[in-house]
Amino acid sequence: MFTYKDTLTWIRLTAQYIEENKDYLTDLDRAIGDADHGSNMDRGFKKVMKRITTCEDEDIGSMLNMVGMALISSVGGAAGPLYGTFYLQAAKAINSKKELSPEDIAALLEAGTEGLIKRGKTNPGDKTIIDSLQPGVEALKKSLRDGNDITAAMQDAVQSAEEGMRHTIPLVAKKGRASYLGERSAGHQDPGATSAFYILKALRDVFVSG
Amino acid sequence: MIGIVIVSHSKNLGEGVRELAMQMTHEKVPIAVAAGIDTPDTSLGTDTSQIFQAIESIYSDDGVIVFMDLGSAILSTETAIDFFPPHQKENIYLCEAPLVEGVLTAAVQVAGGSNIDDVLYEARNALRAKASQLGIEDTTKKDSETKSIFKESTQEIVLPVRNRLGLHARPAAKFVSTANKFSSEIFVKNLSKNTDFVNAKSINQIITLGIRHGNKIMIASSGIDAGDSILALKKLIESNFDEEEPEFISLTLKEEEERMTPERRADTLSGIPVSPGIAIGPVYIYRPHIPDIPEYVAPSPDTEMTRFLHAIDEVKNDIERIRQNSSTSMDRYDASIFEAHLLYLNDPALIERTRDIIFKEAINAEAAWQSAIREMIISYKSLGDQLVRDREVDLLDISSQVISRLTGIRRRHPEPENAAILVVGELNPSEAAQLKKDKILALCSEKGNKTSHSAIMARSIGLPAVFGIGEDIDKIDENSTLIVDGNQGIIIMDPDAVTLARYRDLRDKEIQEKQETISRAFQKASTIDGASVSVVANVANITDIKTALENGANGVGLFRTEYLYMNRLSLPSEEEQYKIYKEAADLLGDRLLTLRTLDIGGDKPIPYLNIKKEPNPFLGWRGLRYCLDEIGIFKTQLRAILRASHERNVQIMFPMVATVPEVRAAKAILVEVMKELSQAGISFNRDIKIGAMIEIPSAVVMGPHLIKEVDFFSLGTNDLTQYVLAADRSNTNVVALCDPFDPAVLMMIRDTIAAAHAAGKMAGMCGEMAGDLRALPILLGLGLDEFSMIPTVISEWKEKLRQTSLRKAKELAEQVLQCISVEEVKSKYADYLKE
Repeated sequence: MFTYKDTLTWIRLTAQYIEENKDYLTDLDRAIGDADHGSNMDRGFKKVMKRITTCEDEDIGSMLNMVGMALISSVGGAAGPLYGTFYLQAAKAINSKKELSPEDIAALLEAGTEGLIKRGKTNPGDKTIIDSLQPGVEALKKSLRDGNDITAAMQDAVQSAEEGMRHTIPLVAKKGRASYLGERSAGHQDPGATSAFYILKALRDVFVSG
Repeated sequence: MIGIVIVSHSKNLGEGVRELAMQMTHEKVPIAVAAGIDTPDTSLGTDTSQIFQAIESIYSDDGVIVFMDLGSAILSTETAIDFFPPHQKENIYLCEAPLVEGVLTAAVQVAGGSNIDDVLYEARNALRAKASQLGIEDTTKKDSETKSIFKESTQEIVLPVRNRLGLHARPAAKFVSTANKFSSEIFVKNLSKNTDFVNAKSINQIITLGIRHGNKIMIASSGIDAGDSILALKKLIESNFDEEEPEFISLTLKEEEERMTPERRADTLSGIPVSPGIAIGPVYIYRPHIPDIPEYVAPSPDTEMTRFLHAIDEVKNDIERIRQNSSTSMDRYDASIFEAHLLYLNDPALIERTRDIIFKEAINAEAAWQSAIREMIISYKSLGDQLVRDREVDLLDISSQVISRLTGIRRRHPEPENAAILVVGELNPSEAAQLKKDKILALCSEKGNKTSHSAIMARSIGLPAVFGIGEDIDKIDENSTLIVDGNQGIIIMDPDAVTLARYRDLRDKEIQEKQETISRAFQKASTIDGASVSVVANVANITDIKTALENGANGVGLFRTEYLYMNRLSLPSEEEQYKIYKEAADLLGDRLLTLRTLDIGGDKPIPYLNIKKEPNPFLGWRGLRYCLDEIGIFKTQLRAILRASHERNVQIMFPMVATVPEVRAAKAILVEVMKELSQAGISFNRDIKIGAMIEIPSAVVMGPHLIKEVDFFSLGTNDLTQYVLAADRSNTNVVALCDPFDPAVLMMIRDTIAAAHAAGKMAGMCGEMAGDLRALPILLGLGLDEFSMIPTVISEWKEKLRQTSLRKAKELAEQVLQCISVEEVKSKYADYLKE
């Protein structure tokens, strides 16, 4: 079972990957946006880490809720409300559970992704967060349905997310600041799809390392 | 007033746009800016909580329009709006207009008093002026302008208006009613005055075009009957609006159908039953004194205008006063009518028209005002819509109020010396609001129907009423006795003895039934042997209070104000809190409202309060402890509570009291707030009662000292139990220890009650135990005065109380206090049940 502690590890790893790749994300954003995605996300997750504590009796939903609120209130760009909505909706899907089954994990990721799509009014192929997140979640669900355990399923999810992320390179942006560039946005990897990939990668690494 | 919010990535840009808009409107329009972020690496960005606060700072039900620059500004705004409650959310509009043009246009519109739809419409078309200046208009007009207004193909026509007075009230009304016959969207603009398009189906908008003789107008229509609508309007204008007497749709036609037609006898009148009930009594005919308005040449239009505007202000003040006073006498009657009256008094169409007449015709203000009103009424009448025509009463009402102020002739109010049945031509809302139920038995009106304000009013205070009697009402003799049957819509004049007896029976039966219903719901809570206690409710919001009242609660023993602080991004303002506390207290009327001050802690996270997660939140920084450290937050709440306490039955309760000095400190802050309010001339109840929640063992032990500081105790048994037994109720391993029936807890309860009673004060309980049916006899036996519980258990609890004997409860209480374990308590309780 995926415990409160595991959730904590997931968030910690996410914050760590974002921090390590802060400049990379910003560089990606510089090519097609306003060169702030890395620093924005890093600031957001730093705030998250500041608020997070190690209280054992808290439920996972409340923690994800807190993550969402922290991101909303501290990330200046579009990523704040988008990722904030992702975590808030994810929290709603699992309520006050203290342990998650593989199905719960898939459900929380799916609910978060749906919330994010609604908030951003995004379609797959618009060159956004969704382009890595959604294939990742779909792969996770499929892999679980095929009878794989969560560790294998998360491996599949991350692989699909990574492919989705690479596939944003030739796309023309339809949303966000990048869309102002039109055709010129093609040829660059989308920073949002990249940060979403780290979120899934962090989740996988909870299982791989633990 | 409508508010405008500017959301931008850049603080400079946001502030700059505001500055531009302010300059245009002379700072009259509320404009808030949420722009930029405050981080070390960049100042460009948008912040959801900042946007939330900006919207909240200028929010009113008139509406808020948010203009955003790019990308994340929109996302952040949408996210921020999700934190508003649904009824506020629907008044917040996100406008896609270009930021600078949109904000400026909207600000100018708001300053001019436009409604939200008009402001949005204008803002969305804000690029037009620039386009026309650049000479782009001709090529893009159909695309940019017409497309944005009309969905389908549009037909247009340009026409001169040739009738003598132009599109003034009556022709405008005809124009609007003609436009309304078609389903197409129709817009009109006055080319001669270079106005914007307005909705041809709105009388008030048409009037704003100021179309005069010789002006050219453009009509644009789109929809399936666009062609026909253009033709019809063209015909109307070319015929100079048939400037003969307009055909009024008979006011009484529709009502005739609604009318009940029972056996009509010479001494029986019939009308529309608008408020049920039967009344028998003498007649009081009220003939409102309509002052004779002389028209004369006024040498100084300026003086007349000043007099007029002064009278308008005075009437606004009068209405404000009636509105405030009526909240009690009118009970649940929706006072929104007065809002409508204030709107009329602010209506530029009326004020400007009066100014026009004063200056053009050089006549006195009274006469000018009356003719402006008359024009407006004519336009309303020809609209043919019943609801709109009902508003004629409102216009007449404010009209006579203004005239009374101008002439100094005071209006009489319908108030008979002895209780009587009021017979009127038509009752103004302002008169209806001042009716005293002990003086008026029933209401009979020549005009009016179920939707009249006085009808709503009559229903809300339970006054039988028959309206729409027509001219027959003149047959009612001043010296007769009347039976008013509000159920059937019949009035019987000078009934014979048999009829009278029959109706007396009916009336008495009705009154009796009504009283029985009331007493069942609100029957006193007392035991078999006649001892009574107070049964009140634990609530968290207004809906709970309504449920509590329906269930017969005697008041509110615990209002959990912390819910006001949850699920949002910033602190609730003083005004917001005040409104809710006031509404709560008003709903409760004479019944008590106990407001518990903010009770939060590490276990109830509120993101913006920055309370850190604590290893032991139940032993941590919470309740009163938090408030004493965050004095700003505490004072805001106390101000709101005190303001709501003015002439209302409100008391304060402090949560998580551990020591006597804590209560003294809280009281000192309360006194400080009282001083500030006094200095500001704000009224409140100086003798407001203060209570302490008893939920910490130290407070029980210090009870005899603590009670000297407060007016009452209220036991919070949920926390008290876990503190007494040192067992966390959320920890499954020890939760079994958390039993309020533990003799140690029962002794704590006994001591608390004893301390209060020794000081001649009251002890209540608002923990779950208070509503626990099993605990009832024990707590009753221990002498608890007040039981506060969730609303839905009240009726069952009361039922149980009625089967309980105080004597036996006391015996049981004495026995359980001797017990040494929960098990023993429960076995004693089982014995008690067997008896």
